[in-house]
Amino acid sequence: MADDAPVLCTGLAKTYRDFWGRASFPALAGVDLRVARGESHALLGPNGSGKTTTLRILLGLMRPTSGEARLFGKDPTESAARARVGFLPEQSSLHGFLRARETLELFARLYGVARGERSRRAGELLERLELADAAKKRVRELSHGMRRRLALGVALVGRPELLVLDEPTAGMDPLVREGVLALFREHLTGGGTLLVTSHLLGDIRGIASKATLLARGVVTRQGDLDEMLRRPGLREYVVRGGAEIDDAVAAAVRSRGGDVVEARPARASIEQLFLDTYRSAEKGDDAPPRDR
Amino acid sequence: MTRLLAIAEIRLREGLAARLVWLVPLAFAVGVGAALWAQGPDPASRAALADRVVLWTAWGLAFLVAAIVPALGMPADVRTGAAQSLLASPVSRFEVVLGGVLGYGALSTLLLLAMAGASTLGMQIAGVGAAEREPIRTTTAAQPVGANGAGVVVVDSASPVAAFRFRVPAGLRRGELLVVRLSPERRVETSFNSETVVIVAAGRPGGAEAGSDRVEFKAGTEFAAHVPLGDLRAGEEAELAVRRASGGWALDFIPGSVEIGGARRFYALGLFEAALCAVPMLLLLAAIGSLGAARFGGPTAVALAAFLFLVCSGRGLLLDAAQYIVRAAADPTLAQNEVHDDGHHHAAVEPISPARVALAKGAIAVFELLPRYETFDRTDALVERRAPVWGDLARAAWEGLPAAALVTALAWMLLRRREIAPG
Repeated sequence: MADDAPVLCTGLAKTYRDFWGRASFPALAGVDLRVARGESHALLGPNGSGKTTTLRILLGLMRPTSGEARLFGKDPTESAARARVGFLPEQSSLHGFLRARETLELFARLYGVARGERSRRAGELLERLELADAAKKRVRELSHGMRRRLALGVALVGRPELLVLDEPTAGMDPLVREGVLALFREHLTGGGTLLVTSHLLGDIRGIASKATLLARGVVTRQGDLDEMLRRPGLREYVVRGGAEIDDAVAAAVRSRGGDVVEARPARASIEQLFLDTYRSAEKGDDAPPRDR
Repeated sequence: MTRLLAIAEIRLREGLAARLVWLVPLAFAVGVGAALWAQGPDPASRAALADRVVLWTAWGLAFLVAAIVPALGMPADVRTGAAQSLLASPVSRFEVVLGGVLGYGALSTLLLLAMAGASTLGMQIAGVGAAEREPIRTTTAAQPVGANGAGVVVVDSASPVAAFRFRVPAGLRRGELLVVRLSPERRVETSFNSETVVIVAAGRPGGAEAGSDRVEFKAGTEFAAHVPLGDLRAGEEAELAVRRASGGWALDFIPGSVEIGGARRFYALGLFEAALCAVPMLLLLAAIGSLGAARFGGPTAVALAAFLFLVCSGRGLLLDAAQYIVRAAADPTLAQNEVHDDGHHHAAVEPISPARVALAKGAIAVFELLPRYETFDRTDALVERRAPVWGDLARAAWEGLPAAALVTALAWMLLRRREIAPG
């Protein structure tokens, strides 16, 4: 029986060619990838590792030099396959002359959403993406972050089974990013599938359960993300107290045969600091951010 | 169909938002200005020249927009990344190409209709000989009597009279003169002076003349006669006699070179029908623009579209030139026998090489396949006060739409092969 997994790549290779057809740059060299239904899969790697090329081939925007890509068991060049996919490109440029609401309605039309449903769906997404105030603005008048959110709306408007996201949180402030990540989690909770690329692990931590690591177009590691991030033989604790308890903690650990490798004051991430400060200011609360 | 219309709509709106399209009203205003400035020996000639300038501007601009705007649309989408979002959606590449052709075709049609309307209004407001213009009429060809094997009736010293049969058209007002348009080909006979006088008379076949008109014209140019119909009635079989009263050139009347004017038509309606005749060409040009855009970047696509537009519009000229080379190669005396209007012969010419003849034959084969520009550009007919008829529209559709479909299919094949990556 044919594999109708949402994403299936077998021996995917891609070599970019120059104007004269000469091979100029190998972007992918035999990538195998399978994303099962309901799975959240991250494609990780540094710039130039082949993440975006893999996505473009998967969406029928490019042809592989060799190997095969399938969406739900179908060729990605078939409209029926792409009708089940929502795509957020890294460089999300939409038609600047359209208004934000018109853009969503246009893509709802392209995804075959019923006429009466289009406007309601667009309004709903504008609310969720905090773009309701910009609904009548033309795309070219929106800020970079607003355009990213609108592009995400475009990806979501057809209620896709598979969301393909290329660097989804690039250009978003932490507050918006949190809202967007919540949308992705909602998509997964509803039984959807996610394929996301990033070169920043922090961006996809918490939404991706499996990962494929690419380097120079080759899969270097693949599997459960938690397993990959686990540091064997080491555990992390956050304890309440100051430097004065370091010796006591170390003694307790040593008494059980362990050792303290690193001890330092706990710090919030810059994103967390931003979120807490913003929320405190909104509530009119001058209290310092909570410890994490 | 929903997706196709969505793409067509987006292309139409993209075109309307493009800065290039907003140059069109400016260019059109310059054309209207030039038309108002037009001069002529009499008010009718001045009005005809003004019409010619303003209609030429409107049709030319619409044709240019149809070819150039699509050539810029898709490359810009690819460069900015908009094409990536569009093509990753369920829309097929065929829908992108066909929707684009329809959208850009609609854009140029709307512009053409707007400019045609503005031209009528502008000329009325400026009062450029509006009262001097003849009404536009439908025309039908008169059938030659006693034509030779090639269907040609010759008027020369040996046979100075040619006869044509026609049916008196319905819709002529009582006492209205019958408008007859004649466009015979000329041949030098006794003198190089092209001043010619003919008497055009109408009457019942074999009966007395109901009325006649004496017309002076230059051989080789089209002319019109206004003939009283006397007691001839609409629908009645009648005969037209064309008698050369003076002139040194033989006149060859080929089929269709004598036309009988029928009922008056509203100019605005005729203009609308002429604009409709242009629609298949606008679609063809939109497909040509999309063809380059499907494969190349903006500058190359524009250059390709402009080149193909020039080939389409210059088809007649290029075909004439190629046919002349083939004829001259077959009959070397042809070039020597050619005479200028002032009576001078061409200088002796070199023999034509077989390679050049083969090239000309190849060019003829290619140009014969191209649709005739005149089929879509009915502005000359309007200036000559001939109303387009539904047959013209059918001919335009017949010649233009298959070509547009073929070029659209080629554009689709190119876009299908194209890899979409922004930047």
